[in-house]
Parts: sequence; C-alpha cells; structure tokens
Amino acid sequence: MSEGVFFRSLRQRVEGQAALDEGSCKPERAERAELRRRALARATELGWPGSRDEAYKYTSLTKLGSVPFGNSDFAGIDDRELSHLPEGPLIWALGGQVMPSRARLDDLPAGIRVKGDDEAMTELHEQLAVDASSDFLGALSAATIQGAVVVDVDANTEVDVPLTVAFLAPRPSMGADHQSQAPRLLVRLAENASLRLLEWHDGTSARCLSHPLIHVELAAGASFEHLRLLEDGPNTEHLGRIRVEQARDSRYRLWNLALRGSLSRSEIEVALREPGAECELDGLSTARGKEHRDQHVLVHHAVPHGTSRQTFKSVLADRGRGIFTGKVQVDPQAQKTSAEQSNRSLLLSETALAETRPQLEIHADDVTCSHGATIGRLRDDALFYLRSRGIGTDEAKLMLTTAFAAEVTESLPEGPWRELAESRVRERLATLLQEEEQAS
Amino acid sequence: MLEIRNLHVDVDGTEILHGLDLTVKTGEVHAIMGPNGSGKSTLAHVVSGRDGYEVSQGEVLLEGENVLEMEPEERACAGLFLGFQYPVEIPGVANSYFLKAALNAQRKARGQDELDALDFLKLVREKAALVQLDKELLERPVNSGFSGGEKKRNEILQMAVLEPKMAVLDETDSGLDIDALRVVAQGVNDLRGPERSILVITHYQRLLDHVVPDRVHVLMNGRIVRSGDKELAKELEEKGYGWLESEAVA
Repeated sequence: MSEGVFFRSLRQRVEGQAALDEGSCKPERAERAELRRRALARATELGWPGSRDEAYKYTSLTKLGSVPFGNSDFAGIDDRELSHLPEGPLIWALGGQVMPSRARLDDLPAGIRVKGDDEAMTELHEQLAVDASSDFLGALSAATIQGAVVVDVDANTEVDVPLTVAFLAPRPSMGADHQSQAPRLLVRLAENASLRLLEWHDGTSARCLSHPLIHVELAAGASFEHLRLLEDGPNTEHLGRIRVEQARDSRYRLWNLALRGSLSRSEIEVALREPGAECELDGLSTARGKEHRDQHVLVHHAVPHGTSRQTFKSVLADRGRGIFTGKVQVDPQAQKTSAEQSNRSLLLSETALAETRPQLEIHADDVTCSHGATIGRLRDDALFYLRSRGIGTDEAKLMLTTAFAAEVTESLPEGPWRELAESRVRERLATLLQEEEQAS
Repeated sequence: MLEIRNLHVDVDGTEILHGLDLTVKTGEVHAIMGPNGSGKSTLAHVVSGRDGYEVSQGEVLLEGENVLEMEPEERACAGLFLGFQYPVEIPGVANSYFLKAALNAQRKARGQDELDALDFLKLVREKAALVQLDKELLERPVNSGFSGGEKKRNEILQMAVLEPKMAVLDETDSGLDIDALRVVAQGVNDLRGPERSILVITHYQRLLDHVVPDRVHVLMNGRIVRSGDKELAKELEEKGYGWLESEAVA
C-alpha cells in the first residue's frame, strides 16, 4: 500500500528508536528493536481502522493517516501544577516515560511494588510481542513504546492509600507541532490483594496522539478500584484501551470519566475467566464543539456465576458526538450469569448526536441480562419548577445536568476521589452550558 | 398585593381567560373555585410564568409591579410562590440542596446574606416538623418516589421556608386524604399574616373548612362570575356550579 504522511513519519520514528535500542549493550533491548520493526510492519500493513471495520463504524480513524506521527520529546522540566490531585503516592509519566524526580513513592506501603520504564518494558516484553502481531493500536503501541509503569500488589495486601498515576502529554519542544505518546500501565493484583488507583491523563494545547494501553490482571479474590480521569488537551486524539482479566471471586470497579480532548475513545474489555468474578463499569463522557467520544465496551462472561454491570452516560453540547457500544458476551457454559447494562445520553443542543449500540450475545439459557438506553434533553417541567422557586436559569440547568452526571460520580467512594471527580465534572458541565447559552 | 386586570390568555390559539379581574389585598386569603376547564390552572401558570401561555391583553401586578414582564425566577424573588398541582420529580437533586439553593437565590436577589449550611439545616428541620414531613425526605431527590401527600406537604414546606409575600396554591388539596388535608391546611394557616396574601385555587369546598377565606371567587369560562364571602363556597357545595351558568355566558 502507498505510504502516507503518517506512516512515513512513523517509520522514521520507529527506526530511530530501534537504532537506540540496538546501541544498548543489553540483549533485551536488541530484542525490543526487532519487536518494534515487526510491530511497525504490522501497523503499516493494517493501516488506520475506518468505518468499514464494525468496531470503528462511528469512529473512523482513517483521517489520521494524513497527520504526521509526532515525537514525544520534551524540553526541560515540566512544572505542571498537580495540587488538585489527591495526596498519597504518585507516579508521574511524561510522554509515557516515568519521571522519577517527580514521583512520590517514598511512603509506599509494604506489599506494593512499582517499576518504571526500562525495567517495566522488559517485564512487558511478552505482552508487547503479542501486541506486535495483534491489531493496529496494539502494534502501534508495541512499535513506539517509550516507557511503562508496572504495579504489583502482593497476595493478601490491602493497600489503603490510593495510588495516582499521572500521564501527561509533553509540552511541545521547539519547532515540533505534533506530539504522540504511548502510555502503558500494567496492574497485577495477587490473591486477595486490593488496590485503588487513579489514572489521570492531562494534555497541552498541541496536536497530540495519545494511545494508552492499560492491562489489569486480578488473581482470585483481588479487588481493584480504578478511576480514570481523561482531561486531554483540546487537540488530542486519545485512543485508549483497557484490558482486564479476572480470576475467581475478583472484583473490578471502573469509573471512566472522558471529559476532554478533541477525540477520545475508551475501549474497555473485561474478561470474567473464573466463577464468582464481578465487574462494575461506570462511564461519563462530555463533549463540546466538534468533540467526539466513543465508549466501546466488551464484557465477556466465559464461566458461570459472573456478575457485570455497565452504566455509561454522556452529556453532549454543540456538535458533540457520543458513541456507546456495549457488548455482553455470555458463553454457553456461563450459566447463572447476571449482566446489566444502561446507556443514557443528555443532549444540550439540537446538533449534538448520540449513538447507542447495545449488543447482547447470550449463548446460555439460565442467565439474567438486561439493557436499556435513553437519549434525552433537559426537562422543561423540571427547569420551570426550579426557576419558579427563584433559581436562575443557568444555575437550574447546571443543577439538572450535574444531577444527570451524579449517578456516576456519586457511586465513587466518599472522600478525595469523589470530591475531585465532582468538581472536575461540574466545572466541565458549567463550560458546556455557558457555551450553549452564548450560542443561543 | 396582587392585582389582575382584564387578563386575556390564549393557549395554542384558543382564548382561555377572557378578561379576568381580581384583587387580593395584603394580608387576605382568597379562594378561587370553579369547575374543570374553567381556567383555574391557566391562571396559576400565567401568574407564575410558565411557557406556553400567550397574554393578549391585561396585566398582573404584584405590589404594583407587572410580573408578566419578569422571568419566573424574578417573580419568585419578588415574593411570588406557586404551589404546584403536580409537583415535579427531579432525580439526582437532593430536596434540601434544592431548597437551600432556592432560598439563597432569593435572599441574594433581595440583597440579604446567604444562609450557611448550619443555619439552613436548623430552619428547614423546624419547618419540616411543622408540615410533618419526614426528615429523611429532605435528603432524598426532590419529590422522587414521594407519595401524593408527601409531594403536597413538600410544596407547603417550600412555601414555609421561602416565606413568599403572595402564595398561589394550585389545587394543593387534590388527591389528599383528610389527615394530609389537615396538615396542608395547618401549614397554610401558619403562614397567614398581615404581610402575606394567599390565593387558594380549588375545585372543592372541603379545604375551605380548614383554611377559611376572606373572599371566594367563582371562575367559569375564563371569567370571575361571582365573588362573595366564605358562605359562597358553602352555597357552591350545595348547589354546584350549574346555577351560575347563565352569568358565565352573559
């Protein structure tokens, strides 16, 4: 196939990285160089997925083929303010690379181990090898990876302080107007371990392609609470992928708040591999201008006695788009499965658009599965009721819109996480409503 | 307090009110009675500023100010309160949060200090006890899952907290059993005072046994066809509205 702007610059980039790997005396780096080249060939062969691919029907990425692949170089020290992030241990990654100087890991509790970059990438080698021959995004990540974070929690360890992993898109270095980064995170919880982790994505105004890959492996009885706060820059295309593997009686709890970015897609795949596993997935997307949000969920019940719940919402203003695809796959042997799914969208303008695609593939007969989807607007009767009590129109709209989002934020545990999520969501919704007000 | 002059109102191109005149003096309680479809709710909605009503003629003055030129929230801040016939359920907004936002919006508009959380809590608990509303309902979403009686008591609670100058109660008695009716009536009576006027819109006379009005008006076919004292309500209860039909068309 003909090589467009993107692949030309991608090849240069990967060749450069591979050469650096080969220059190192470590044998695993040489292997990584070879893996990069293989992944590059795979990505180039596949090309960007477009609307002909069912999974990308409403989020075609082919136009990204004409955008150069940016570098993840950065200049100097990044002094970004992180004061709003909760206290406690922090890992800070810039352009996907861990910055040890900005980390707060001194008071890390016993039983939790965090590895960064070279060590982490070596640990991820097998996974990268699988990605290198998988689909486009997997191959792209394997080809361009620059750093990684691996978090391990030992068996029977309950980590009571939440860990924060901040992925920051680098500020553009001189002369560069395109950025890219391949954030990578692996979380492994051993038997009966528990952890809470905030994954925060922050961007700059530069054009940026961010394609994080998050893997979660939960051993029997493990419990993981995972808050994702996506606040990418206004010119960022964020193509994220979360893969979760659950063993017996493990519990996965996700809040995926996709608040900012020109395009953001969250591909969430959870596999319940052993009986008694349970996952609860909450998502909230907000879009303004011509922003695009895609929440693409697959919950795979492979064994009996699994429980899953999905609650995904979006608030869409102006010409914003919100796509939800929620697939529940129940294998023939997965009897006594309980699966719920709900998707609700609130449109703040005439031109906003929501697409909802529930996909239930149920091959067992003794299961409880339900799904529901609604697309609506702010209710006039509720608005009038609030105004008739003296509450101004703007505040009344904000109250109702925040109330719509509250189903997701209120399910967060009380404390810093909920406060953070509520204030970020509220601020974002206020902006959306203000812009609608100005446009009208 | 409230003066309605020659009010003509259209809904979807059909005139519902045909020149309604009504004056409620400060400190008085008036009742408007009338059969279904006479325009009672239209009157309540127009006064409070709901969309979908076209005023073709006339004016509505609250202490001399034309409220028809005000937004609904401005009317509320000017001291007008509408008790809804069908209170609206608002999932996701806690009742007490809503009430605090409303009270403070009104206080702010009047140049008063906003109440802090503690003072507000004290006030709202005291008023909730007055209308016998379970404290638990203060933390529940506004009217969500409330019984019919709870919804109406919640309206009276809002009135008690907001202390309007002019309250219009649109069929607040409908759908209430006798105990709930007494509680609602008690709530209304507690608010009676020399500074406050109340307009009770009702289909039945029974509420007026508990809230004794200074004046009773009969609304038929979009006009006030007769006014009198509380005895008029009793007469209506006995005779129905039929005997006034001739006056309504005249």
